[in-house]
Amino acid sequence: MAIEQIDGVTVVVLPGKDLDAGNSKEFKSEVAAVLKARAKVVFDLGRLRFIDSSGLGAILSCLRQLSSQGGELKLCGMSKSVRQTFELVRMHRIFDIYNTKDEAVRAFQP
Amino acid sequence: MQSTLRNRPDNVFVATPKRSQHILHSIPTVIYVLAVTPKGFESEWVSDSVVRILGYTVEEALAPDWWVDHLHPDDEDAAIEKTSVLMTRGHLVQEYRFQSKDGHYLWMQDEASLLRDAAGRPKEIVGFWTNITERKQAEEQVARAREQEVEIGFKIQQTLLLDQPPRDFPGARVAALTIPSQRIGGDFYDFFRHVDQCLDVIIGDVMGKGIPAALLGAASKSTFLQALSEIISLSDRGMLPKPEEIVTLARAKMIRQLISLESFVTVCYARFDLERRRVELVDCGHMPVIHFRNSTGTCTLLQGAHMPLGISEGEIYEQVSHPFEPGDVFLFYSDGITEAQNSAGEFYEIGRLAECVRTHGRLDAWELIKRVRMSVVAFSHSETFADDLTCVVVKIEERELPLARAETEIQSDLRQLAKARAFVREFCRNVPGAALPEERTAELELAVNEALSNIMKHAYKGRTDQRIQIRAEAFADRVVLRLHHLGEPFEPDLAPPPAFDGSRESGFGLYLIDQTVDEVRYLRDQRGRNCICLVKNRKTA
Repeated sequence: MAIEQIDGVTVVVLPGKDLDAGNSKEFKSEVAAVLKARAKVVFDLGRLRFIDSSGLGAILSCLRQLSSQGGELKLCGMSKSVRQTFELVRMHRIFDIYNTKDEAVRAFQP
Repeated sequence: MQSTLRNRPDNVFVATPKRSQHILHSIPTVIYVLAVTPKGFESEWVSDSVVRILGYTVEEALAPDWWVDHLHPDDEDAAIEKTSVLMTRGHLVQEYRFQSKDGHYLWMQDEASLLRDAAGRPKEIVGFWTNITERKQAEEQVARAREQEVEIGFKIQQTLLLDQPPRDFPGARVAALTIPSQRIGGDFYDFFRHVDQCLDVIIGDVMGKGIPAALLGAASKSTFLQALSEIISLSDRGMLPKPEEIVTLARAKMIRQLISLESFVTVCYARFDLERRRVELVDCGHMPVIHFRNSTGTCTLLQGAHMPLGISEGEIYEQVSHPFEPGDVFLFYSDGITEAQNSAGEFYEIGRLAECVRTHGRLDAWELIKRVRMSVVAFSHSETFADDLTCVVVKIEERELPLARAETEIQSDLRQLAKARAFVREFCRNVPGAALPEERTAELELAVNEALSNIMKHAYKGRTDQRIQIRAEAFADRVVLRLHHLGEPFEPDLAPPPAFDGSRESGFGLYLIDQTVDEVRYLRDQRGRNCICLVKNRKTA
């Protein structure tokens, strides 16, 4: 999992092409460690080609973890089909979604 | 008179006053006399036996209102009202519950007669009061037992006698109807699906009614299945036994029992060969099959010449073969339908049934069966019938061959989901004609993914060593994915709706399936496996 720090924002690049029931648990536990004690986080979904309901659940749990510790999560780089899946379950209304990493990082600047 | 008295032998009974009293005390009946007065009835006399039977003293029993005060509250009004009959008809027998001295209620039969004076005016009432509690209890027990029999019979019928018609047999739509009667009968039907586009329909009726008939029906039904599987296991691979062979073996297995039980079974065994477009029938005394021809819009009756099973041991069965075309309908039924009666005592009869099929033959199988039901109900002006109504419709459809077909198998391991999605993607990319558009393919992939992960998590309860077969078929207008598994069937209706506010991290699966495909069906396939069938149209409607 590639992690980058840009202007105090943690950018996590989701590593796989798929985030499904087969690997979402693993992802959740790995990323939970990264999110600990962070407030500003961007998930870069640029490599992701497929996400299912378990994958959505995993990202939702990250959002809730960050909110509970007073932080924020933004998403960027979604492919068309991944975006569609988000929209099907209306998750695009719950997440802050940006086209590019830069836009997402900039959105954190006051 | 005097002389006969004088001449009577010594051992003849003489009713001395003392003896009379003794008799009145020991009979199982209370005798009473009521005077008819302008104010009503007044108790005048009651026999000693009231002490023994009801526990009251004679004085207590003669008190005003004693009778009314001890009637069971539920019987009181009716019992009092009926006494007026006594004045008009002069005689009354009625039954009611009456409280004895120790507080218990006894069932009493009260038989009273009105006596008139010389001028014909009502004078007094003489009555006999008998404790019938034991008889009543026995009657209640019989009634309860009968109710129980109806209930058991109904359960036998639902679980052992009647099978669900196959829901997804390619090339034929099958529908079935049963209206159980008050007393269960021995109607049964069954369906055997074979490879090579063959479907067997068996419908039968055991003589008689009640649990014996139902049990015999269940036994007959399983005998046919046994006969079929025995011949298959003994014959060369791939050879499907003929209906006449199956009936012959089933008869051999049952005949002795049927004869010793003095019963018989009418059966119609039909095999629909959708490849050759023929139906092969062995009819053993069952009702004629109604064949609706789509091309002419007419009905013909197909009837064999064999006797019911259980009549003769030596009969040689021969199947008869009839051709059919797409759109044709076959209707099988029991005599409960044709013998349904109206208030004038007329039977519904085959003629009316055939006419109903002719009128509605172009409707869907389930719709047609609904019309048959409505027609019989309208004819008999009743929703309940003396005999079970059983009816099976087979409607031949234009057979549609898939343009492409593919199959794969995965393990029930969530890490295999990616492999399944790749299979779907590959299939959709290569369907004959235009490939499925990218967006539709992605939606189908998601639906298959969600259905598979449900199977793994819920049907197989997380076991990773089980198998799931995935079959894909492409037609001109749609792509169909079938997921077969041996886990528990799950009930999508029981799943709670998803939370769209982000408050729950799971529960989106079924919703996603619904949103991404055009049709979802949960079925049981011909091998008894559970199957989730997902249909995606190739173009938007």
